[in-house]
Amino acid sequence: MAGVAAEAPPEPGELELTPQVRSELAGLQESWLDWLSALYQEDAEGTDLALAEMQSGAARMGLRRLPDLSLGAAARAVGAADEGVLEQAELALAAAERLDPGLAEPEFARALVARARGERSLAALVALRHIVGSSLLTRLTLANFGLWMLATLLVAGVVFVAVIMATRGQQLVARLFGWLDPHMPSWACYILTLLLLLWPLLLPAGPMVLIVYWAILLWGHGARFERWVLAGLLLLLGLAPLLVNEQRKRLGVSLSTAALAIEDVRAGRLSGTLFGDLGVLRAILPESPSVRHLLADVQVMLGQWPLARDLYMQVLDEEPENSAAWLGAGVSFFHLGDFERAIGLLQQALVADPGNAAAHFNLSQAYSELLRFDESARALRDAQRLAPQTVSRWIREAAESRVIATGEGLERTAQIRRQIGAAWRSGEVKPSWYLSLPPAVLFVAIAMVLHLLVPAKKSSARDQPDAVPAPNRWARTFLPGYAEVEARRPVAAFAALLVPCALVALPLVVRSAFRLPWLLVPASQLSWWVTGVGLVLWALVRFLRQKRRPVRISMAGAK
Amino acid sequence: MDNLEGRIEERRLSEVLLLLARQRGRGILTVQGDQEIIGLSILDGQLVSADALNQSLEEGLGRILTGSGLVSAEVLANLGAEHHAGGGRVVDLLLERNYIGRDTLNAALRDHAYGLCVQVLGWKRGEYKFYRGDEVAFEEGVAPIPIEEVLVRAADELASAELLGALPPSTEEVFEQVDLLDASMAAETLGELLSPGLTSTEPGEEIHSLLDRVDGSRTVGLLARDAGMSDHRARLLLLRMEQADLLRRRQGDVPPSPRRPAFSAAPPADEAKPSSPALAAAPPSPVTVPLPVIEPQSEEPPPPVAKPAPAPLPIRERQRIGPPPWLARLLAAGLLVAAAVYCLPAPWRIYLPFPWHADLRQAFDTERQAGIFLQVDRAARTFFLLEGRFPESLAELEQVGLLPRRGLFAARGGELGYSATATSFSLQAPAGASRTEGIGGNFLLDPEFQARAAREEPPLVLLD
Repeated sequence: MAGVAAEAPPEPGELELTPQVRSELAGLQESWLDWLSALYQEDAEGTDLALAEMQSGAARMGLRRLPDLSLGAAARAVGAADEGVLEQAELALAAAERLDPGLAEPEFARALVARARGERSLAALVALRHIVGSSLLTRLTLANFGLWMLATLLVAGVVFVAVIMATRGQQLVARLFGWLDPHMPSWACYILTLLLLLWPLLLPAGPMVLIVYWAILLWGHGARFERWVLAGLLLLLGLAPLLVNEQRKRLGVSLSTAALAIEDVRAGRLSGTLFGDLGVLRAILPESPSVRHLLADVQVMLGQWPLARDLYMQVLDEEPENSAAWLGAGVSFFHLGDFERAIGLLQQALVADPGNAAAHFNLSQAYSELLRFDESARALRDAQRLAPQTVSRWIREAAESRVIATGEGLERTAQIRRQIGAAWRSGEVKPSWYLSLPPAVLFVAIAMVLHLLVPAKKSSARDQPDAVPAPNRWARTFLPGYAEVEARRPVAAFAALLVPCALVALPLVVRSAFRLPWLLVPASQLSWWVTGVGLVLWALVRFLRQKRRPVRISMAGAK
Repeated sequence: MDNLEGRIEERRLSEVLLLLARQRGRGILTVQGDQEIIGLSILDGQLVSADALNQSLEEGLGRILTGSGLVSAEVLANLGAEHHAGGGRVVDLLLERNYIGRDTLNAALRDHAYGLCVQVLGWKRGEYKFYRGDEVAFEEGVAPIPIEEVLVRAADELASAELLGALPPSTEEVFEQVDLLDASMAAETLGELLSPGLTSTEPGEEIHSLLDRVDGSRTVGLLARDAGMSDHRARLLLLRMEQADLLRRRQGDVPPSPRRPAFSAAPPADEAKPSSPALAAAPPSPVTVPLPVIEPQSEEPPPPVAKPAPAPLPIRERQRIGPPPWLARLLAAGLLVAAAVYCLPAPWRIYLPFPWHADLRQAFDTERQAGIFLQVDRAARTFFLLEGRFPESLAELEQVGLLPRRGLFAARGGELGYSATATSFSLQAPAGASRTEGIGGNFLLDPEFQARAAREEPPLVLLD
């Protein structure tokens, strides 16, 4: 059962299942074992047969994807490839892809099988497209991307402060030295100057405090745009915890058992723990009409009409204007053979929403069952008037399902997620994120006060703040931002820092980010590779650009 | 060039002079400071004379001559009085009366022009304007001073790294090549940017000839001689190449370069040699550049010699030694190292660094741990699906490729604790979060599910 460690789930009452549904589910387990058996015997016909059984079994429950079994088949394919049984591996791979076409793991497995064969495959990279198809993966990826951007900006900010210190800090050091010099010997000046500059290292989180401290100290030596960059860094440092906390809360909900179950149902995935997980959802939000509506739609998918009927009626007690619930209740009574009651409920659905074409259509079907053909025809005409093409499709489908269930309860996911978040937050220990706000405000206030008190230096390439010798060509090439800061181009300096800092931050963020729960991942060190190759390419590009660029030398002196 | 004017604060005078040299300018560059206006006469990009508003030629020249002991102050005063009385120019009178010879006078005038130029180069504020003209007045016979000589000597005497961006190398220093990324391109670029300013017709060749000779053993003086250029020119070119990272000075095996003491400007080798000890004791004013000692042409005993002022201390010795320039860079590097040491073991400290973020870090880790548990959970269930049991250890999941290596570790690092029974497994993160999962309720794993389904199947009743 998927879920969250911190979540203290209530005793999860499994969703009620009728014996027929239980039997269907048990049939899936049996078919899986049949498939495994046929696979080990490399019986292609047997595996096909078992596979078809599994797929049709799931389809009868309104769900078409079997992610657990797909994972099992993919894992078996990798195992078979390792054992050298490549034909078996291919059979298993084909099954994995059919059992759940939306999973990335079968494609990862294909890459591993290709590797076992001594071939190279891009399947693993192609599989990354599945991030878009999965709500959870999309959220995790976006959150991690956000963390990466945040880390990149912060790392670039740290390096920017270091570059400012390297280029302008001589003035600061000289000024401190100058104050101390008349009063003590040189060696004492050195020690005291270093102490004055480095004391924050003695504090908890010393290096980060030091960055803030130096950003403030260097304020007076910076040009206007350098100050903006420094102020931005201070603000970001203060706001980062708030941003991280917001991400954390969103993902906490997404990773919860209940939210995962909702996503499974919406995507048509029948996982082994689905009904238990839906039970958890019901236990978390027992009074929520949204959850009841969703569960009622699930019961409709499973064909458990009495359970669906009861749930819809409970929803209607809370939401009498809910047209979709009236419709669902009507459909449930229809399937239970109570056509008169069904007609009454469907008419209520039309009262709540006169433009509900499905209600007109279902009404027509119910009248038809009661041989009231004139009213049936009239209701059908009304439905066709509202949605002609959709009704034509329904007519074709009606041979199988007779009435139409719209499944609007499944669309209440966002509402349910919010409710889960609210229920969850009420129980969790609140982190003191608010403590981050005062430092952010304080940093910005300090920046503003300094800005008003200390006049900014003019941005001028000719402004030579000190006589520090210029870095050589290698330093200019491989120390990003250095030459730009010296030339008083702070924005360009910060921009120059972004790419290498993003590359350096990548493996760090991967270590500290939300993990994508993928299995059978072919390359677990991908981030290090990306960083390594990226940095080499970046260095090469800078080298070539530096080589082609004319040697710019100020006539007045070195840059 | 007609519009060459502006403020020193915006454009250094050394740049302006180099530009005039590059353009082989001819005319007068006037510079107006806070309390003085100085005009520099430029002929074909070289300095030929200089005048100051508040300092007549006679005064300046007199200071030089008395400072070097060639003419006494009394003689000069007499000649000055004669000049004011309409007796002619002081310089003419000096020649006529055989106080000094023509060569000495020219050398003095040259140094007078140079001294005023150095004075104006030291100004931090002021306005300049270049008046172009074909006619430039200067004393006949005065050797023009190349701009590079003016700048290099000025940088030496003022001990100013600001003037040229760094102190120029001495003739005793040794250079070595840094790297040859693209020496030809760099030399060409240098030629375009700099050498025209050094009044060379073939800058690229000149730079190449210097570059080719830099071998890490020849001194600057030797390089200049071998390349067939003046010491000043070689020193400026080498400085520029050093700033362009084509060269670097050899450190360690070369003794500190002997700087010429302030205001003891010696002319180049091809000019008259200074030798008098009195020159070293010249007065400190920038305009009192000592002259080369030339014997008076007169047979008469020389006029009384003014007593030289005591020699000033070199500028550097008068200053307290400040912090070295690399200290700030060292501190910057230290900051990066400290930040890396702080963040590498726990990268989330990048966003949540401060002590008051402790509980936020804890909550953040809890959520990250949920993702890790979910991954392990999926892997363990998949393993069960194939093997009919949970793995004995997480390493088993890694071995079959289900889990990546890092899947064995908790959010804050440290291996996940794991234990399994026939129907369940437990995960334990080092920080304390834990989780237990089983097969109960999982219709794909639980063998009882099938049996229960069979039991719940409604009985088939046969009716007769």
